[in-house]
Amino acid sequence: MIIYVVKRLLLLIPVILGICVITFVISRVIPADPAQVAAGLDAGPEQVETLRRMMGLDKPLYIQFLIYMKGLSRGDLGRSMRTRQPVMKDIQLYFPATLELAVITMLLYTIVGIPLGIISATTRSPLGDLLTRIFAILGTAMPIFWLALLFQLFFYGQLHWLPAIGRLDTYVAAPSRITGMYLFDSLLTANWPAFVNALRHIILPATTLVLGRLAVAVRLTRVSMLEMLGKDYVRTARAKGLRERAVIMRHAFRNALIPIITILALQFGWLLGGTVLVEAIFSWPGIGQYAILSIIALDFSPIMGIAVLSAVIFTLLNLIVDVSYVLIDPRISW
Amino acid sequence: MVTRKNSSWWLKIALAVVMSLACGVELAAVDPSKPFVYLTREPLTSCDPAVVVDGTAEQLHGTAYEGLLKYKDGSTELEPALAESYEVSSDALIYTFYLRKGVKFHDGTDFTSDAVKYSFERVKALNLGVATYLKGFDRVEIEGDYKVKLILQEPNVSFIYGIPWIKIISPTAARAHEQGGDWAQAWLYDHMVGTGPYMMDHWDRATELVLKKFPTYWGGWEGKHLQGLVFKVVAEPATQRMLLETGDADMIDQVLVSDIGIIKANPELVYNEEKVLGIQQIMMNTKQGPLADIRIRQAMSYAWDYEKMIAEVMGGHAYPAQGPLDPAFPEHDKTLPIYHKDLEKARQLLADAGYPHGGFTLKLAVVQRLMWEIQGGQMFQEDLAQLGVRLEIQELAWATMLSACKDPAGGFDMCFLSIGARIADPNVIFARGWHTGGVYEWSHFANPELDAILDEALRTVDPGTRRQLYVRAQRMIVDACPAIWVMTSSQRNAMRAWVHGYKMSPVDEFLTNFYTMWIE
Repeated sequence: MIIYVVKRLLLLIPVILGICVITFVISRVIPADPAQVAAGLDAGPEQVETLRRMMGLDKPLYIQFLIYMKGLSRGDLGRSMRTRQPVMKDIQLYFPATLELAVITMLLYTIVGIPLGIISATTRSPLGDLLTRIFAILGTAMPIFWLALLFQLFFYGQLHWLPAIGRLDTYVAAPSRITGMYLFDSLLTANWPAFVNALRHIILPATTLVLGRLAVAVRLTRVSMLEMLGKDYVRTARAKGLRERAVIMRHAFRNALIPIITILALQFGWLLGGTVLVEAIFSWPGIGQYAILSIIALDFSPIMGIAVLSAVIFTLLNLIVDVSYVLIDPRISW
Repeated sequence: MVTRKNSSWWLKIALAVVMSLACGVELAAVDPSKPFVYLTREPLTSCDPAVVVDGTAEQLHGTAYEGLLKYKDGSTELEPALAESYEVSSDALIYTFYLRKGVKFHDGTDFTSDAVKYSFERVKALNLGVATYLKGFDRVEIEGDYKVKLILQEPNVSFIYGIPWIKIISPTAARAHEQGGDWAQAWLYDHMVGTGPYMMDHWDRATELVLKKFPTYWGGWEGKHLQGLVFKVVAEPATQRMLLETGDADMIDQVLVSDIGIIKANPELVYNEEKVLGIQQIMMNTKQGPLADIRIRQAMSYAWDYEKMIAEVMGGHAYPAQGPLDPAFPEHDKTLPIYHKDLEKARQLLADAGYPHGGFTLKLAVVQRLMWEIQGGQMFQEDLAQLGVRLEIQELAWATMLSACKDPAGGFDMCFLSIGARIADPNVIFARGWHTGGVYEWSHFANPELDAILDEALRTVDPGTRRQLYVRAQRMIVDACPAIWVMTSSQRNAMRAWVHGYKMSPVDEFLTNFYTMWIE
């Protein structure tokens, strides 16, 4: 198993190299002048040239690539022309917000979606089946930005229950930074005012994301459970006199977990990539916003840095999922 | 005795959580002591006033920093700021400023001529951002603590109009934080030490900039003023409007045309609109493709529906253009011909050029997601179809457009372009849009005679002579018909009715004097 994990981690190297080559080529092929954009619309030609030289954009492409790869080998993702900061520093600023939103969303997604799917599979009600299907269609069909605006309009604009934007109120001091995720940092430092404030701010964006994708979890759990509940070993377990709850949770659900975990991992990876629309509407300062602003400005270093980050995230997530298969089903080995 | 397990503990915890969360959002009420909340569409990219020149940066820097001069509220005229008065030599090479006494920086140090020298030399050395306004600048000479001379190598009459954008920073603070000859760039990236009425409280560069009153500001705090400023980044216009309507924001910088009626109908809100210096045009590629023929360019100018663009696409919130210069400039030539839509004339011109039934395709570049450009392009597409000309519209990111439209072989026949002024001098329009090598020289006009006229106008001190040169330049450009002059625009914003003292600047939509505003 350890050898398997090490092999999978080593595979990251060619993946990152490939990502860098592809994003580098694509971003340089597009006719654009990122130095002009970074200098500002009113900057003169001399100021643009100064910035171009500062950012190394006057060098031949292959030299630019080699400089970038050399930096990458030391963990240096280059410097953003737009923010004028190291990309790594920008990622450290923006990524925790996305990670926090993704973790809370996944928690809600798991706590709500899986039980709903189990209930839907075990009650075997035609009405329940119909409602689940309708819920699935609605969830998939509703545009997420529309849902976000609707929640904002209703819960903030009409009811005034929850804040509309941001991670904290202006004059609430952020908790001492440990992870950069305000909820966890405030819990770890027992900063209850910050915790409550951060919790209130995350509810709307997290709920938007959950509702938009919940149907997938419910449907998949239901299908997976139905498949397991029809198996012989479940019939045997019932025949042995086991309580229904034990049959469902200890036998059927455990075997149904593998596809569910796969989907959960994919959903998590998607969330970590930054949910741009939700972040834009709730002014949530996550990696999605950073990516969009960088793409619009054709800021090469952040674009490549985010691509590398996404590759690492998905590779690690896939590895975690594969390892979890072994834990769930001892028959599987790598 | 049977003891029932207390299974309602989870209910109590849930109730406690809900209770704390359901405190609700406190509805905003008028409170003069609360900080003023301004919603901005883009984050500030640097606190250093020397390195970035964009609207958001200039607006935010203007709260904590000041220049020697500033634009008078609601006007294109200059007035004293850190300088009480100034003189310009007859050859426009020496600008002498008499500095204001008793001014302090946010770090408590005194404002003197050393600060001016340091700030100007810093901008010149870094050669970024606002250095664009220092064309021709050579050095600063100090004569005592309160008199400086800015010496130019070559005359630049527009120089004085860029002075408000050169902010004066504390040389003491900057020198103390210089690292490896960087002119304190690293430190000033996230610190502000100016003389302005507001000083930095904290900056979360992803979300907001918070400023508090500078107690010893030289202008004093008698009378009514804003007590603090909070600039929050909210990119989504619908969210901006929502926050304004609930009172959680005092002012927003984005008002969609479709929202104007809603805002105007709300008695708690105030809608502001005023003309701003600038021009919106479609630059035509005079070097390649069908538009290399002036007759076809003239045909395009007659095919554009100017009235419909202003009335329908812009909802009446725009003004007619007349040539390459905004009519609000004194140097504008009022005798220039004005095009109107005339498809018959356009058809005749196409026939003269050998295309009686059209039969060619043109490509128009518009800025991605900029609705008025996209809708204007679609309107144009329908009209050109009647002439047998096919128009392809392509949305491009701004960064791509800068490069693609600058290159005559970039694949575009026409490019939509808005040029704002930001300084009240016509050179800023001509230098960028019509001088060879200008950043927006997208028509590839490259006329050495025009360049010579513009260069001479920049050196000419006498206003009358200067105006004549610009009139000649305008006539030369209009006669060549390298662009469709679509309209001149207005700026729009909205605020709560409890905000007072705001005046829109005709120079730039981001020029806001927060110090003279108050809440009541």
